Amino acid sequence: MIEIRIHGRGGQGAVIASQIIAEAAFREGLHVQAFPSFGSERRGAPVAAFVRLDHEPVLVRTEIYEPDGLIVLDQSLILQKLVDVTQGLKDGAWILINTPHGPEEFTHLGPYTIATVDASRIALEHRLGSLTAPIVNTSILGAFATLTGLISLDNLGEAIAATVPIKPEANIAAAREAAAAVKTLAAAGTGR
Amino acid sequence: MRMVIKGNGAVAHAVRLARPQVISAYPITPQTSIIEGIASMVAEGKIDARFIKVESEHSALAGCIAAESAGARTFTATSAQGLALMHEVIHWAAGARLPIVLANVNRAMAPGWSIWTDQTDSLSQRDTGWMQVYCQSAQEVVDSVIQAYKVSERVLLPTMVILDAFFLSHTYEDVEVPEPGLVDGFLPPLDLPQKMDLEHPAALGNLVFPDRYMEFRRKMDLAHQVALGVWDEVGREWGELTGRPYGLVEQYRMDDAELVLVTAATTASTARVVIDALRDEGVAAGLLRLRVFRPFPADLIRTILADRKKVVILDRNCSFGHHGIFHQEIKSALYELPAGQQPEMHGVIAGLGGRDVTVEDLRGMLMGVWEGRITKPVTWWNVLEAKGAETGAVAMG
Amino acid sequence: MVDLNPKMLEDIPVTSYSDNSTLLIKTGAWKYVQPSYEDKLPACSHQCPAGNDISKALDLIARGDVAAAARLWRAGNPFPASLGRVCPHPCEDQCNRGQFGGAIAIHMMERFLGDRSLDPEFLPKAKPATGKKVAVIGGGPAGVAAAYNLALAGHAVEVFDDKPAAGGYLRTGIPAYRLPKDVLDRELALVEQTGVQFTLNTRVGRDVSFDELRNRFDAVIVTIGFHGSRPLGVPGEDHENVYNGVHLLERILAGERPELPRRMAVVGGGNTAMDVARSLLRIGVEPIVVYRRSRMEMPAIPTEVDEAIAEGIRFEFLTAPSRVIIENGKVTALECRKMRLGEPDESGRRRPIPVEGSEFPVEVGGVVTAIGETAELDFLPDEARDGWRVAADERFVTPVEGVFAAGDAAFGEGTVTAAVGAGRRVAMVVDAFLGGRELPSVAPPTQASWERPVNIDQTVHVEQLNPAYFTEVPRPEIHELDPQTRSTSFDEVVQGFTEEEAIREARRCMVCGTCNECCNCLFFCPDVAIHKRSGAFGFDIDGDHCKGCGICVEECPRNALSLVEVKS
Repeated sequence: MIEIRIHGRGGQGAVIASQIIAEAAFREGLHVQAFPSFGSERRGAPVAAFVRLDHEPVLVRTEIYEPDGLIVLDQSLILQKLVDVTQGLKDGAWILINTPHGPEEFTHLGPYTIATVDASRIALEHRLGSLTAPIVNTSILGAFATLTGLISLDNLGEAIAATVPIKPEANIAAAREAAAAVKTLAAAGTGR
Repeated sequence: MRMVIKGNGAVAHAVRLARPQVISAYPITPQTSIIEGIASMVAEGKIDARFIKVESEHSALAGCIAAESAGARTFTATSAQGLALMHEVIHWAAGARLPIVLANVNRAMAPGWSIWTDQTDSLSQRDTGWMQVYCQSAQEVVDSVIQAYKVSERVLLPTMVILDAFFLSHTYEDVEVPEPGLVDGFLPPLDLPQKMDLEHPAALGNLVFPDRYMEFRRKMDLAHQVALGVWDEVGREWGELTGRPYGLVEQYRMDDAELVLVTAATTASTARVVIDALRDEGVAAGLLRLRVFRPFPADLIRTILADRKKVVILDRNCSFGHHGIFHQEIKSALYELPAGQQPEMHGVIAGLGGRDVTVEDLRGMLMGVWEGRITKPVTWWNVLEAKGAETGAVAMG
Repeated sequence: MVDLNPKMLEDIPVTSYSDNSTLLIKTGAWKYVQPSYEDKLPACSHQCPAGNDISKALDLIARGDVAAAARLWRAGNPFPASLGRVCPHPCEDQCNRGQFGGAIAIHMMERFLGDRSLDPEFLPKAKPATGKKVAVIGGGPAGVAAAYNLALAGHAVEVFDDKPAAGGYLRTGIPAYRLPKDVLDRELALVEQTGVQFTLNTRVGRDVSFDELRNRFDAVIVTIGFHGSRPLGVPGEDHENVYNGVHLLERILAGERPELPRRMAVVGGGNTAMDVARSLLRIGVEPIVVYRRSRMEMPAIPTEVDEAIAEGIRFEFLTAPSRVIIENGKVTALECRKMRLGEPDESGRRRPIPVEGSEFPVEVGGVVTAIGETAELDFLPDEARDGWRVAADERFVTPVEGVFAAGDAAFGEGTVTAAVGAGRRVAMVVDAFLGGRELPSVAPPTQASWERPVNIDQTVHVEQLNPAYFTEVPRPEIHELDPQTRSTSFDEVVQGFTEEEAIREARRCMVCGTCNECCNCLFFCPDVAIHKRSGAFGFDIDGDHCKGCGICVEECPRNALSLVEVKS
């Protein structure tokens, strides 16, 4: 079973991102579970969403405490130390960050595989959201597909079309662009 | 058709398949997306029903009662404070023997204000005459709503289908949603034997004197007893149609289990992971999941739990001043066992107000009982210790 | 059917359910009071001087039966089309709908029904001839109303009038912009169809003697109305440019256009003063109304005053003439004094008191007096006269055997509507007299002539209604010619309702005190003891099951039910 935690700010689409991963993985034939951090969400405040993927039906119905991977939609959560994003993260896990910087800038986070992609830039180039609030959740999932190999870009595209009501084509194009733009720095000894 | 939907979406799809004629509901977190989903389906013509917008939950159920009295299949959904506000007409619906189906999203009662899961809201309606089914997955939600209509309409009792807030209501998962044709074959249109009929005027709900009231109550109680068999039969029939059979309770690795966890809802799903781990470690652990809580399958549970060594009953609820409610019910069901067959029973109250009950929590309470570290009849799990319990300071401070 | 003597649990239904006990138990034996359908007088009809059955007619319209409503309205009233134009409609002041969005436009409804019933098919059928003969002296509204009702009762009626045409004040006193003369002519033609004979250009006492009428007829009714204006009693009023308002109005309305000064003072505050002023305006004279009290005390119909003001007519209130100023043989001004109001006089209005030294001239070339009218009673024997009026008691009976009197000549009620009502009432008295029945001790109310029974001793005001059943519905706009057009024309100012508008307005009527088969009683009866009559109006109450609980009475929106004691 793979457990993923997604960090973002209220309004950035962390919950939708968890749903899209679930939809895409479902199309890969996996059993899926996706849920938000339960509670009342406020725009701008740090939020989290979770995904479980497995070949067997997912029985565990608790929150996720020791994820296998992280997706960080907003680098400021790390840079401004707003959230301890690596809390409970398994050694050797991967972290995918939306940032203009390269992965080497984030090695201080620990013994993890770091991947980065400038999803905000890609989103804006595809006219998704505004300069102050780019909608990055679809583009970063392209990078997620490349990084983890868990979902194909075709299934990601279908999942986006099924989940995102507005501009599905632009969202899919952004995801494909991000899939090619991701830069990965493997943790020592992980082979990636 | 398989699809990724959340628990609340599962309710909406099941309601669509059950073809109700009247839906009357009022929004409340975390139930709201159920009726939003249904309202959209009605608006899009996917459900051929009248959707009545009301100003309160009391009116929502009153609307269902009126429509059902005229012979219409109805649905409503609510949660916590909304369910409590319905209370007066909840009794009415059962007493009038109307097979209404209601989805309740388990949410803690205020204060303190909480939107997270807790079973006290639905268990507070235990004695109203409604049937109650606790679900562990979105799949079971779909299946149970459809079964609930069939059982309810067979025995003329209303059913509450219950799902945990967020852990189920807001969690997306892959679910098999049956085809309409399959459900139509399983669930015939409602034909109430006794309903409002303009050609044959009658008074409904009229005054009943002491010389007759008890007979009506006796019939209600008998209907509950009949319902035990009907739930069993309908769960099996559904299994033949879909490959997903259901019983009054669910047993997991119970054959030779000496340590048994009894619980309901999503926690029971998580518990299976713990049971598997304990088995791997050589502990003969098993799970008894409560599903149909009213009518209460006391005889079945007594048979299942006879001769077990230790039983841990996990309640996500509390009857203040006494035990957890499942705990009380299990103990009372087992009273008739001879002393030699009585297991040692421990109640655990955990997860109130949405506090997570993790794999580690479940392992802790099971092993605590198994290894004799937990000896008290009732343990509040993972809660701040009370230093002044004996002086009363804790209660008054 | 529910088993009333169950032996086993299976014999009872799953829940409390009863499909028979209501009829099985004869709850009727419990009662000591019982409901009874009893229509009462709606506040509007209570206030209607002409005695129109307003609520019933409006209910018929609301149900779509305009023809029945038209027939009902004309049943005792020969002038609905005319009254629908000139009545001061006191009914609307009392209309209970007034507190729920504005009074029903009853006046407009009367006009609608009046116009609709100009078709002879709506005329009631007269009863078989009695062989009795009645003379009516005066073809005004009171006389014609009496003649019409007596003719319908089967008597032979002849109306004498000294004018070339009947109609009285309706013809001579009311301008065409309020009442087009063809409307009046058509209503009089309908009266003739009932058998009434009009003998015109015939003045009693000049062309035929009063005694001769008494000899030829079984009964005589005097309905001669008021004629002539009282003098002002100020110096200079015998000048040729000082006119009697009633006579001047008659001339103008007859189509004459006398040479008149450019500006004239109209003295008075009644309907005649308004009619004179507004008629003068229409023939190019600038009128100035001089009235000794304030606008509040004016006896004229308030809407007439409103319309006059809207047409730009100048008013001098709290002003009384003291002298007609004549220079070089011509009137140059009316000298007036300002007045102030003192204590109320016997009429209930505050008495005007001259302010010393406040004389001022109102510059006019002529004066019209319209300060009250007098009857011309010379032809009557002395015992039938009481000063300026005919001596009649409140039953319309004069001291002269077989002679009755009604209308302004007897009581001076002063409106055409009251005159029509008086005509209806005197007809009831005279019919009793001709039939040899005992005369009533007091005058019968107009409503006593209604075909449907109604308890006239109880009036339904808003407090007697069940307000839970009524919501506010606004009163419709009444269409009028714009003031600019009408100040130069005698065209009708107020435009009538279309049938659609009339039906919509009738549906606003709360039908106070009058059963309209709303079925609320039936719905609320807990014992299913009330049944709608099949093929007939109304309901029957099943005495075996009505237990006298009174819920039907309580829930009747319009107070058309009463609780009465059970007679043992």
